[in-house]
Amino acid sequence: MLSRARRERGRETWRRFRRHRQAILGLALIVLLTGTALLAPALAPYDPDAQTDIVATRYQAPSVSHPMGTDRFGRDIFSRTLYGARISLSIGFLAILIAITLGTAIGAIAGFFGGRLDTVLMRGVDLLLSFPRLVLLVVLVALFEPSIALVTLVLGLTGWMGVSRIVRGQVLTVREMEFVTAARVLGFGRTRILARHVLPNVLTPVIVAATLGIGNTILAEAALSFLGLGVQPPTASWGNMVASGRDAMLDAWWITTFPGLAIVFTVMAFNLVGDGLRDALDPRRVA
Amino acid sequence: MIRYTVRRLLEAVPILIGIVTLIFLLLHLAPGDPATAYFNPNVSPEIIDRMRENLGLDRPLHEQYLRWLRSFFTGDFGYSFSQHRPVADVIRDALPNTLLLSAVSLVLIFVVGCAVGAVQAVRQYSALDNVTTFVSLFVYSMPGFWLGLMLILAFSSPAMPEFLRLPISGVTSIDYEFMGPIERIVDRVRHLVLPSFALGIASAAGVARYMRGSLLEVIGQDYIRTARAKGLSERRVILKHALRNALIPIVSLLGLYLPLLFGGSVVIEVVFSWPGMGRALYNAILARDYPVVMAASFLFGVLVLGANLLADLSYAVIDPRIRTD
Amino acid sequence: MRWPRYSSVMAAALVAGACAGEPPVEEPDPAAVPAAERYGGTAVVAGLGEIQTMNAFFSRDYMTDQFQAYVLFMTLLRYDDELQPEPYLARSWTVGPDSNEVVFELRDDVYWHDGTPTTAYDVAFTFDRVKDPAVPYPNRSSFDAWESAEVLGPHKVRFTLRPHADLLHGWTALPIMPRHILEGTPPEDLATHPFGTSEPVGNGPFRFVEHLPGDRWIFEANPDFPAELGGRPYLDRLVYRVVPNETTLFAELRSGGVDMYVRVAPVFVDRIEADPDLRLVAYPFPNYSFIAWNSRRPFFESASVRRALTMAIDRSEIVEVVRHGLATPAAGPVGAWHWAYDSARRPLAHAPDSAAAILESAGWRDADGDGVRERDGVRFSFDISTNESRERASIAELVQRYLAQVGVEARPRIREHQSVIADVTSPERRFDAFLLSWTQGLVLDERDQWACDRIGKPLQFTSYCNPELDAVMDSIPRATDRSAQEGLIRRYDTMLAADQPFTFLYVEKRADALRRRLQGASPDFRGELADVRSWWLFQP
Repeated sequence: MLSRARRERGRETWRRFRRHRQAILGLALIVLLTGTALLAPALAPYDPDAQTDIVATRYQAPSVSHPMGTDRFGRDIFSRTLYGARISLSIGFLAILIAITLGTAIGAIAGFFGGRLDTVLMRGVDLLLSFPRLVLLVVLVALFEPSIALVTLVLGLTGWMGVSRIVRGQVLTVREMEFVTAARVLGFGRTRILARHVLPNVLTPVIVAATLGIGNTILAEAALSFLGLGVQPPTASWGNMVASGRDAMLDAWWITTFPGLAIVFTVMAFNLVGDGLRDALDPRRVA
Repeated sequence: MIRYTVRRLLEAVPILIGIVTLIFLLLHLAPGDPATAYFNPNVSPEIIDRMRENLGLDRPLHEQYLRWLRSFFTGDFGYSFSQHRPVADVIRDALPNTLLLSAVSLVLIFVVGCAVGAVQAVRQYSALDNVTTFVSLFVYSMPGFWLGLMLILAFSSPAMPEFLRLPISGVTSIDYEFMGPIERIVDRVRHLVLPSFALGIASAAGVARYMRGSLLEVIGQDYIRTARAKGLSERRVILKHALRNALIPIVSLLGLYLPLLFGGSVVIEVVFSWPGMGRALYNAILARDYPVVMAASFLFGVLVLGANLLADLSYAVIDPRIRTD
Repeated sequence: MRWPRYSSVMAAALVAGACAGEPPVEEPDPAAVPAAERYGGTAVVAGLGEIQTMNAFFSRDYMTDQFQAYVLFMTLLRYDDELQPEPYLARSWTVGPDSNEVVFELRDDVYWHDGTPTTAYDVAFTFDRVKDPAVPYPNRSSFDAWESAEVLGPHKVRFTLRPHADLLHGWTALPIMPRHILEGTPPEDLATHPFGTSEPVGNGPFRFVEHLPGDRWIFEANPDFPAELGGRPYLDRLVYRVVPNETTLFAELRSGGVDMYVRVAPVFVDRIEADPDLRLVAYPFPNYSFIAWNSRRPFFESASVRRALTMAIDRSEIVEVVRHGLATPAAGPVGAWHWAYDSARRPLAHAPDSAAAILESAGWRDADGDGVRERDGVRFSFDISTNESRERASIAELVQRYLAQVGVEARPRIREHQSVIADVTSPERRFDAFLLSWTQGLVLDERDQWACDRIGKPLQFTSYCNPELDAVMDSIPRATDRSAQEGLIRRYDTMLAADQPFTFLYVEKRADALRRRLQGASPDFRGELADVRSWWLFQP
């Protein structure tokens, strides 16, 4: 009974989403990007790490053989951008996954069970939010080495607090609703109520936050690379490509520009989709 | 209200102690210490050891921790290991620069963001709306240092006409001391333009989108229709009724942006050579300058908690329907 | 600020020339400007790093040392361009017959900027603090042989010491500190005295004006600087700005906001050379990049294997790619900047085939065809650590590639600087190989790195031990003149080059970029600011 209503709502949501031209554009772009990331080995004309005679092949402007030019080691930027999509998108998706999993769990527990647990958890969230994120990032990266895994973990662990607040707010509202009271009267256990009845109804703002968060994570990875703390060479991520080309911007603008544009369009796409989702999922909002 | 405020203030104390403790532990877990920064083939290891001794780094961990905790409560933040001067001075010099940049960015964010968002809402789906949406979204999605560096290269380029050139680094010009009071203000303003733009423009785009949505929602409300039906001019409807109510949720955004701005953006401060808290904190972490990191984190915590409290209180004041539980 | 009068003369000439319909006057020549008209103006020097303090007892980086020694304070002696000491604060000196005593005669016309005369008591005070174990003066080892100071008169001081080569070296780098200001401070508290950061009082060619932390230091000309030493410098003001981002720094140079960009990033070299308003000065500099091999690991035990690794690495290509040519491949630790440098000596050739052959004969064979050699079940695979500097990360990537071509797997591990230092200086030597660069002193004393009795101490990373080398290193400071030293230093260099406990990659050519309006500046290995008294601004 509940699931059919959910399916019906899902179709309605999709209908509203479809009307958002920009959101559809964004979604198409994301599908395209994910596709190219997955198909990178097939699409890339060169091995992203391939170097020949460095001095002869480096800093070449975009041309037929190298549509996005070559970098300071003579590597093909187009191929590296394709492979970089895998790294940047994975970091974005995984870090957000960590953030929303952790944030949803903590926010739901705090909101649902209330009382002392709620206070302790939320004060903990306050503590972490009042923390200069930079200190955490730099110290953690110094303790362990900068790597894709560490960057993902650290970005995820510093991003869950906002989600937990949203979820807690939602849970507090939903908790008082009739169908939850009904479930309780019917004798369902509290955990079951939380997991199967409350949670599915609080996820809408979480999904929106997650979509928007992926864009921010990709930008944060670029900032970390600027400070030397991101994904390390020779692995290519969009962030470290933009960062490493920053001194050559005057002469070899293509080194920063193409991965930079990739970041811009990806983040734009996620933002458009997030906006569209927000409008589509919330029936009260005017499109 | 008073009870609420007092309770929040009391709750802040364990949070602040928690922050300082966590920072202390993390810093000491990280390899290296302030003396390692002097590592150099010409410096014999005995000198480094002596430095450690002078700084009290060879004392047991809990002793160091208690010493710092005590110094916080007496207001003495100790001496910076890398800058060789009181931490209070480090903060006294860096914080105003950060606050200035943040304040200007904040004004930029909200004035520009709200204005653009309002225009977009009123002219919904027009060409102007689409173009500004695209442009603001584009800028919002750029890595900050990339935008900053492009601004620097553009505004210092020989191709840029003289009158459009702007200072690209620092807080004031070299001959600042020789300037008269008006000239000084102009100089400071000119130095603020590029960094505050780079810092704020992305957030301004975000605010514009929120404002657009919020205003659109308000416009669709009944009381607006009533006002229109009453025969009020469109301009009055928007400016007097719609805008004021649309701004309410934006206030809560303030609380969200403040932490970002108080901490100082390391990236912007490095790119524009702005001597603020972001750079000070970052350099202190790299140099394992514990007193500075702890004092700055403590201060940051105070500012964020304070700003959150203010935001919550003002939200309650603006909208009497909100209970402060 | 007074602009040179030359400009108004020039302007008048131009106007006259234009009115008369004459063809334009040719390029004004800076050499034609008489000394009397060079006074005035503010020059701005900028670099990536901050200058933290003017307190000479705690300075630790190159720019800080220069501003102290050349701008704000005076040292007893300076180096001329042959690395021979010449008088400065000390008017003359006599070395006793057994080389165990030196008497300095100081100038009597030098005053601290607060009016107090500089005397021998200041020199003795500075020396006492330097020798005090409670003061962690980084260069104390330069004074190991100096024992005690005795003031013989207001401008005469006598030192006792052990005979030593290059015995005056320490005095070329130690700015004399004012006794009347610092004497009352306990040595442990000297570091935090506001003298260093907000109230320095010097006696050099420039006076302190202001320090804006994180932003700039401002100095102005000292009108009372001794006339015999050139008197007041031409510049009215000298400013040091910190600009922590290379692109921003270059943009400032290009637009005129900065007159000298210190240690230019190699990527800007072509642009600077193409710009008519800028000039590049490059010179050999005592900074070399190296890979340190932990000889406790099975891979790096034998010198021949280490030589093979060096031969596999194309150091010329590294110089070209990473430094854009601003470096010279290194044979050993003695670089072109050193007077004992043997220009006939060549670094090990880049010869991957020979390298592969050596590895084969050492028992490292790729039996399983995976591209990586093994021996006794151990794969020739190791981590090469370095810090997050982009230059070094690039070198690590390239090294990985070169070594892969001879069947050796080097995995770059890029970590934050302090973490790397902590690991490599740890007694357990928690590293396989690491890549770093550092600046040597002008007088070579590297016993901390190579001596057998320093194994286990922080700087002996490689755990290298060669008693013959120890003997040479001990003899060098005992040799009393240069001709005796030269042979020893060359032997030292040759032995290290043969054993390759480090793979010496390259010796830096430091390059500074100057705006053409900054005249009289000729940076060399003594520092960019060594000739700051002769800088002037040419404003046609």
